[in-house]
Amino acid sequence: MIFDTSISEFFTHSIEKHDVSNDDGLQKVLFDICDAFDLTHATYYGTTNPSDRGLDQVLITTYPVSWITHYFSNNYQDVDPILLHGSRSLLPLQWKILSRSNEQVADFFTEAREFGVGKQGLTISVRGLKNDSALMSFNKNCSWADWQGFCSSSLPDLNFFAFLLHDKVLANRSLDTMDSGGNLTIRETQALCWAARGKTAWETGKILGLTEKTVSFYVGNACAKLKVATKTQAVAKAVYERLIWF
Amino acid sequence: MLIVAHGSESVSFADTFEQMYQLRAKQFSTRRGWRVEVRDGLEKDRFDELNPLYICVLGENRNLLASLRLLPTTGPHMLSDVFPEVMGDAGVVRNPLIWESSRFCVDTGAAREFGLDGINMITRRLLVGLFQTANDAGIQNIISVYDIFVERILKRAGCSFDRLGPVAKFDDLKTVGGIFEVSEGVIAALHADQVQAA
Repeated sequence: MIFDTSISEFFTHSIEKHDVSNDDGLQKVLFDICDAFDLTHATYYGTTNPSDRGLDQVLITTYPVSWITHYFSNNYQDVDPILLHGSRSLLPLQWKILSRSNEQVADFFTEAREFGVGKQGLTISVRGLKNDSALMSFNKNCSWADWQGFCSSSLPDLNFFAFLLHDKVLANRSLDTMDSGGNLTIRETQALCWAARGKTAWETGKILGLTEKTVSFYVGNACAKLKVATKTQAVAKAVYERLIWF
Repeated sequence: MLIVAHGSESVSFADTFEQMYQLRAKQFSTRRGWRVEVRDGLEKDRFDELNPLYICVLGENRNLLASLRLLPTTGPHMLSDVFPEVMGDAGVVRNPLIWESSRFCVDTGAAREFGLDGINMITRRLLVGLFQTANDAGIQNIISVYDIFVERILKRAGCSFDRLGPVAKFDDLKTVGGIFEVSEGVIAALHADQVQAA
């Protein structure tokens, strides 16, 4: 599935319009996303692994400086259950499920809210090809019911966006990103070529002897490799980079 | 009951994980003669070191009945690192919305209940666990290599999937790569036997 009017698509358009070659630029995009999608805060906390320099921690966030300062001066990285959950998880973490029976953790969340961190939150883990990984958190002041509704409809989009953002952070540091766009497979290339000629997934399926779902799967994979959110963007980027022709 | 746990949680689930590696040794090495490494009666490979997500079906006595292993395709996985030829023209998948499932096994000695449609109840339970977990995590597809032999069972159980690459032969076994849909519809289809059984 490809996304329309989603956070992923919003992000891919933003990076075309603004200078995102550094963390400040990406921070601005996170602010724009929170505005556009009515979120309270968004935070990226990544671990990149430049081979000659050891691990490198990257924090790009809409959190106020006061909270960040308070967090680190109180060594909350040792208390924060989200960090303990780890960035190498396959499962997204709903903050509501985190154990509050631990008094320290309960106090931590209460204090966070005093600094403006949203009551409801979700953290997605991103895992890369080398030892790189990241935690992408979204939070909002709203009811649990509203938050659940948002999450259940947006989870694939949030996963994809976290992946795109992590890739951009790596690219900004000239680190190998998760499979360069030049490595489209034969089927991915074919699927995009026919899409470029205006064929639907169903029509392309008939031409290539595949099911419609399989064609969509290849288009989706091409989007992931090209780091774009929609089929249209994938075609445009592939044509621009001379990966397909028509 | 179902356990869904990462490799990093092995201390909390030591007994279950030990049984899982033993079951894998029994099913893959002993029973099917696959070329896998078994040490001290446990089958483990390098992918178990990558903090996969495991799904385990336990019986009433907390005895392991079935298990499988999940890895993100954005990292190293079997289809990218071990048998990419199974994917053929489909090539390597690198997508945050797609997981790879591997080491799917059922203790056919212990799990002897079958539904009216002939599908092993524990196999069905594991499949439901797989697709429910993936759906709850916002995943859209699972890729996996499977024996041609089980294709009919997977279809009859309610899975929605297509073959990806050519049929390949490994150790006298005909296998193929498949792309499985993850959705509420598939989960409902996998539950369909409960209507029949009742």
